[in-house]
Amino acid sequence: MNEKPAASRIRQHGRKQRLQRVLALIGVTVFLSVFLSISAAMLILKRPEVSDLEKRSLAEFPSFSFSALLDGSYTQGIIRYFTDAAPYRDEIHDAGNGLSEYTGFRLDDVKMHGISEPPVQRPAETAAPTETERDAVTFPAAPETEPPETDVPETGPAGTDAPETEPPVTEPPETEPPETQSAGTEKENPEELLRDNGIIVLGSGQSTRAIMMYYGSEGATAAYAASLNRYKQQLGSGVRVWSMIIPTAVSYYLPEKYQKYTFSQKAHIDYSVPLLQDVKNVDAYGALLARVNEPIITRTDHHWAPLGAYYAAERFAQDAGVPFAPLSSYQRVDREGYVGTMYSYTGDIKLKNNPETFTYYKPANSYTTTYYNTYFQNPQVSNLFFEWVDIGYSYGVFLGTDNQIAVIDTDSSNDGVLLVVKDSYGNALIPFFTGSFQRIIVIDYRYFDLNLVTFCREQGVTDLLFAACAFSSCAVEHPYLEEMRTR
Amino acid sequence: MLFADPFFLYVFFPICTILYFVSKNGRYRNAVLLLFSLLFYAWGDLKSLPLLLVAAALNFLLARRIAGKNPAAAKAALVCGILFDLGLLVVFKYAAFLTENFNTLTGLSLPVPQIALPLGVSFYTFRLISYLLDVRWEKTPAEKSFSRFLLYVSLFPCTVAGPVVRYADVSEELRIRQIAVEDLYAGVSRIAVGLGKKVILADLLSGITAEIFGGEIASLSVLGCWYGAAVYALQMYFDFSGYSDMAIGIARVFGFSFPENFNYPFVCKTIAEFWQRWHITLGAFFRDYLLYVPIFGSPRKYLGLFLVWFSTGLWHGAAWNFVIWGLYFGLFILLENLIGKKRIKKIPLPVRHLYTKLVITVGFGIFYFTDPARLGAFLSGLFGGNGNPFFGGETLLHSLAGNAFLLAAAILFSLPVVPQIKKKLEETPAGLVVSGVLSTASSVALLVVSTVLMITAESHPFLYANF
Repeated sequence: MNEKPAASRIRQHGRKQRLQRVLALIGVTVFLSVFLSISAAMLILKRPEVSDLEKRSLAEFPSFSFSALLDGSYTQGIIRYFTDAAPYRDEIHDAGNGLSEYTGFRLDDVKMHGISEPPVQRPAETAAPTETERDAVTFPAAPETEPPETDVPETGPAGTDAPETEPPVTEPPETEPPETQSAGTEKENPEELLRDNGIIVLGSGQSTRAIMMYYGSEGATAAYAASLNRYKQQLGSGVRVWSMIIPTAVSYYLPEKYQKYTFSQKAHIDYSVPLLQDVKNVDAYGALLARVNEPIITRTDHHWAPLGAYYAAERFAQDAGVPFAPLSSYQRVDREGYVGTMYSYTGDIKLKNNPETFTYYKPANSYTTTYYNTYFQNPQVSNLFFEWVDIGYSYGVFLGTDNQIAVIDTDSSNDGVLLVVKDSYGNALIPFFTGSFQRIIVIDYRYFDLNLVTFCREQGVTDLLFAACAFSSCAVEHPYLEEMRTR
Repeated sequence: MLFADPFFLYVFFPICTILYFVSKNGRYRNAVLLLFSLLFYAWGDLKSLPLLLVAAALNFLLARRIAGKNPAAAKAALVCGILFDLGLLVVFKYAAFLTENFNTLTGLSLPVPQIALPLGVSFYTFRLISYLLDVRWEKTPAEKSFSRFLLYVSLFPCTVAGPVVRYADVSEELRIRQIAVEDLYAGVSRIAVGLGKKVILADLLSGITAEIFGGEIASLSVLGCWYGAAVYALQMYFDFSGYSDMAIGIARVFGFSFPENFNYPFVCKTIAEFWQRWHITLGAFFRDYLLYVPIFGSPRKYLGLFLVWFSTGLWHGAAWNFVIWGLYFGLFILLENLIGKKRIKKIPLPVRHLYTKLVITVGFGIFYFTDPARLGAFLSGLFGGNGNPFFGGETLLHSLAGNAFLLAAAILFSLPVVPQIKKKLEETPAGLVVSGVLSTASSVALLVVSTVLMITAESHPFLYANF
């Protein structure tokens, strides 16, 4: 009686097994086809050397050594190379960032990246230093003798030997893409610490903006002020010393409810002013505050915009009593589709999807720009504007890289010599000084290998301007300024 | 080398697999697996490879002696073997911890040894101990071939992390393996699922944990503390079980059937049940080799329980928070034992679920904080002891909104919803086809999305491999 149903069940079971086997075969074939295709693509396709997205050189295949093999760095290097320099890695990053957008939704058009709850009680942010604090940055005992003459090496660093003859005048020097940093071998750089405090991306469409939270300390600000005071003391009355602490987007565009996630740049700038002794403060904060509705700070990059630099430069020119050309006299250049560093810092696809226009201004007067290595050797006449850089490197249009000394000789009626000690924020200021000084010397405090006091004297500097962002000036107790003064 | 590294996935694994299947003879296949297993280990920690080889050789020889006819020699060999294996853990994993605590207790300042943890030492020592004891208890014969034994010890799917595969689990498969197309399909599907769990869920959840717990713990609202710990519990689950899935899947491709290591632990209704579903092979190890060994007879069961949970905590890391974490779970299991299963079953189901989820969440908070001060602030914050509001902080609000879909997916996939749908579907031939198509499509999608995220994100090591 039960034999038929049982046989039927067995047949059904057999059919089910055959079907499962067929489905498994199809499944394995499809999966392995995709899997092996990706595998082949990873092995065969050309690997990029530079990431335009992250603006850095990508990992290279490691060189073999037994010590590297033993300590694991060789094998780890291969793994890193394989991932970091994957074919189409920037496009894959864009895709990955796009996928990450689907993890949820934005509240009030805001997304917080890497921001944690701050301490309930932040350190007090006083607007002015106490008497004791002022005393603490009063001139220390100045060196009784001149700093020793720096021994300039007969040749500069490797690969920068001075040429025997003058270089051609108009050809730009062969340079790496600007603003790139080598993977894994980065020099300690205050600007690299910026992203550690978290970033908020807010707004939508052309109002989308990334804002980096600021941290800083009165101690670092005081150290900065004390250092400038020492420069002034050593250089004497013949050189005017200026301090321009450049505020960033967080000072102007962060909504009130998020203020607790940042320190106040304004408080630290104000804190620095009474500590400066015979060093003049340039109120860049105030100059920009009056123009917050204009594109003074980039939306997608951590730098300010050239227009913001113009207003700060104007304030400096007013304070210094030097000529200053109106903006209308400059040639305006627009670079469309600019997406700055904040995209790679956050991976926030909204920034990538809402690029901005990077507008810069070229002065009408005549000038010549000469670049030197960090020992002030190997002059190369070149352009002030590196207009051929890719759109993603647009902020690098000024001066190209940070690790050179630039000297700009102009036809300005003012025969003064301005030396600007800057971080990358200072680069955008330089074109606006071409009508104000006959000679402008630009050094980056991270890449200068001489004694700065001696150098100022040798170059006949009349005005010494320290122009760096608040992160560099007030947040990082870096040794650079003192090293340049005392080496 | 991690399973979730593109280099492993798209270079090492395919080359190994192709060479494996090109070799027809079982002996050659074992040779391929052994070669690649040793290469895998050397790639991650070349310096520790000799230690692995010596440990394998010594345990191999001692097991032969244990299986011999001389009882005294067998006992001595067993003691030597276990002392050696535990000694590896003490020296390489706990030396610094023990010295620091000794210094604290005595006021001495003995130099704290800085010894790098050999790759996978926590796992392979347990496999070796289980092998010696199984041979001693005649649950399995001693292996006669050193190459086969070395393959068992070094087999790359389970060398550096779980499951804790016992020799008896794979002794037959070390000799003969048959691989049907269903095994291959089950293997690659499992690899894709594990990869997705790790790269898509665990790694994205780790970003939430870092943001919530990365700042000032004393500033977190009550809900912020609970939220951070709950997310961390989910992250740990997907990280641990993702690795286990990949290990089981890779092994399946080569014809090995590894034991399951996770079975949807968050559906548990008691803490004891949680540990029957979480890291199953580790729990089974402690149960079989520590809790029920003769020295812990019935009168000493509480001592056995204490030792098991003390060891479970310490095994996870050489820090007191791990010990507290282990004992914390042991305490609840003890309470459940005292209450009794029958009485617990009378408690309404929602209450039992709420109880277990709260205990588990606090437990993973304890697991997270290795710093005692931060752990204290966390425990205080859970119950409003830091004077913060119940709900507050923009970071919490934005984290909840910004990760709403991720959290929903994490909760969904931590429950056995998909297997139940699959089971229901596969009752009819048409459903079987639909299930097969969906399964293949999802495996491919998981592979592609995971690959994109692996390249996009910075490398996140498997937390499992740190133990």
